[in-house]
Amino acid sequence: MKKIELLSPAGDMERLKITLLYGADAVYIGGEKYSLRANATNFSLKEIKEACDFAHKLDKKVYLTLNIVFHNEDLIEVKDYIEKVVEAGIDAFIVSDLAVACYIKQNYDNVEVHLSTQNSTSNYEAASFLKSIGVDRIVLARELSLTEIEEIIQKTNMDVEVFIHGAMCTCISGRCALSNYITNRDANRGGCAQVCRFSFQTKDKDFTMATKDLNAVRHIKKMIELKVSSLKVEGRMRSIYYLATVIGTYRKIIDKIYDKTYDEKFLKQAEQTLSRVANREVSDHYLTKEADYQDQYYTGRSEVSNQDYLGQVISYDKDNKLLKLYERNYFKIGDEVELFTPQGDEITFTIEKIFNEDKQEEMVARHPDNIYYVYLDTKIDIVKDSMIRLIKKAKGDN
Amino acid sequence: MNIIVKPTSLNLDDYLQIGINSFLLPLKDYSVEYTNYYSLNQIKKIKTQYPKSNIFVSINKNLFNRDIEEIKLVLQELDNIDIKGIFYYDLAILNIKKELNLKTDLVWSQTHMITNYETCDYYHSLGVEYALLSKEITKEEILKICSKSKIRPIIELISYPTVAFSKRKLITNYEQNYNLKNNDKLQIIESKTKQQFTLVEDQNGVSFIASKLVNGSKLLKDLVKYDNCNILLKEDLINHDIFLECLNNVKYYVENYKNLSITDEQKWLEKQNKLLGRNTGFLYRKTIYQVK
Repeated sequence: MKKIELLSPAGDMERLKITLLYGADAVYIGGEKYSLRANATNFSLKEIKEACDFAHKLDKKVYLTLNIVFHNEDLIEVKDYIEKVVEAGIDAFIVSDLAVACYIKQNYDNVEVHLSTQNSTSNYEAASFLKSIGVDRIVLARELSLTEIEEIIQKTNMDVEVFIHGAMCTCISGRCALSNYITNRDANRGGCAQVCRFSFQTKDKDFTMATKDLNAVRHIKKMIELKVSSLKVEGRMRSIYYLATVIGTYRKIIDKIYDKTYDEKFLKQAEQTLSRVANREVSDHYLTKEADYQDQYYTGRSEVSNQDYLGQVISYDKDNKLLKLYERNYFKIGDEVELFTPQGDEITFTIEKIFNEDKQEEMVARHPDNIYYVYLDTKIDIVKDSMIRLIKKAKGDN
Repeated sequence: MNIIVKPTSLNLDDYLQIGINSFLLPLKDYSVEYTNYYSLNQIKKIKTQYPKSNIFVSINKNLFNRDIEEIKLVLQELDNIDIKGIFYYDLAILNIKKELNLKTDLVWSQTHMITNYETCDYYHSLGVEYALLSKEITKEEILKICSKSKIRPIIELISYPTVAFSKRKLITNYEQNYNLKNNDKLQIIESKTKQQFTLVEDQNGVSFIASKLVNGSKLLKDLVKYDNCNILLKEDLINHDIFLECLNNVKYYVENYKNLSITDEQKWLEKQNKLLGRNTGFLYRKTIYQVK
């Protein structure tokens, strides 16, 4: 039985490596052109090759988003670009333009074409049509219920990818030009200004339409039963801590479902872990019902800044029991923390000793990006890029 | 050049008197982003009442599994009454046309996504006859599609443009949250730019319509050179008398442009601008997408 794919976003090389290490089976990235995140770091051709080499060594895959709505001028170089990306070793292109999709299918046997959610495929007839023109996978519209997803799979036997976690658009993907009209930034060419998170005046109360984030953690088992091919996490511009936590958590959920060790207690723990990195409230939106008033925000609100992320491990000295790490947020002696590894291990401990880069003892680590050492006595293998998060601050520290 | 009108009433006499013979009627329950819709029976009646008119029907909602069987019946019925074309958004329509061997022409109508000539040609190769071009592209981009594509382009020349569509019941949700009186329309103003939008909600979701009329009359001079070109004028939210006057002006221009002097043309354009304002949307304003 083919295991469901866990697909992670990766805004740059560091994120790509982290998410693959934390359990993603594949990553999707944007190139320097033709991606809907024109203002993200994105990958050069050289980096795409490096990314593909890195992923393929782990027997994992890399997909490139080529999902803008193409204008005449974009067509001039796209074919040349596609050729170079194929040469770099990409496994699939995520496209929204059918002419581009067919061009790739007609010219390259060794890459897949995944139809972007920008096309908002929401029924089995559309899926059948896409299958007939050679599309390998459809990233389904985010407005679908589990029942509708099931029917599409049953009637078409098509590979489908479903969003499971992250930010949601208020409008149907591809069907929104609010950003164009209000900010002159083209939403469908990668310039979306996220106008749906703006506040609007009316003759009455202010109007907002911002959505809560998607969290499908309670539906993963069902999606596996429905034979969904790939579970997609949103957020190419999210932090590595967020990605490591989210991907690591979904990796465990999927593995436990297949191992038949999945239970309610574990699920609650997973929800708790995910809630620690969330900066918005969450909902399952359309998966079990029509999205309603509870899935939106109605007042202007600021995003919650997350300061749980304390450090990224550089190495662990087993002999001296010292963790070497980059500090990410302030921590001190007495803080209760949790270390989590790419392999899924978690160690909860209280910080007893902190040393600065010169191995002088300190009470507090207060300089982000500086190197610190933390005392930890454990037999577990702690590898580079393990991370430390805050569980509880030391007494007297608020 | 063919002029297509999206009317706001059942009575087409006013438009026919001006010499307009092509109409776009959005099908109730299966169409979005308009301010009024027509039931299948109303469309049939109109076709009987005005047998020589070219009727295009819009079926531009995103379709869901539960819509499919019904939409097949609808498409078959429309196919039987000599409809000129179906404006479609959802790719399911392409599959159904093939499956049911329907003869009615299709109009690719994916709102913001019809922006280049190669993709237009791709759809043409699939048997799609027309494409309603995006309202967010420039004059140069439009003209390039007109000159290079085999598809018959339709340009939305005068309208309050639709800007977005959400499946969410945004007005209902807002009113429910604040215990406000129920309305199916809401005017919203973006706080910084003061741009206004009319939100219209029905059972399919919410359409966002810009409150600034786009007047593309200036473009007509270039478009009339292309025989394959069609223009669409949408009456939605425009005063009926003003709309008829501007329609009359457009008709006059299309029929007489070869005989107009530069001064006549300027006077004609000024008349249109007085009626409709000078907002030309994105025709002479390129959007950006990289802000670094």
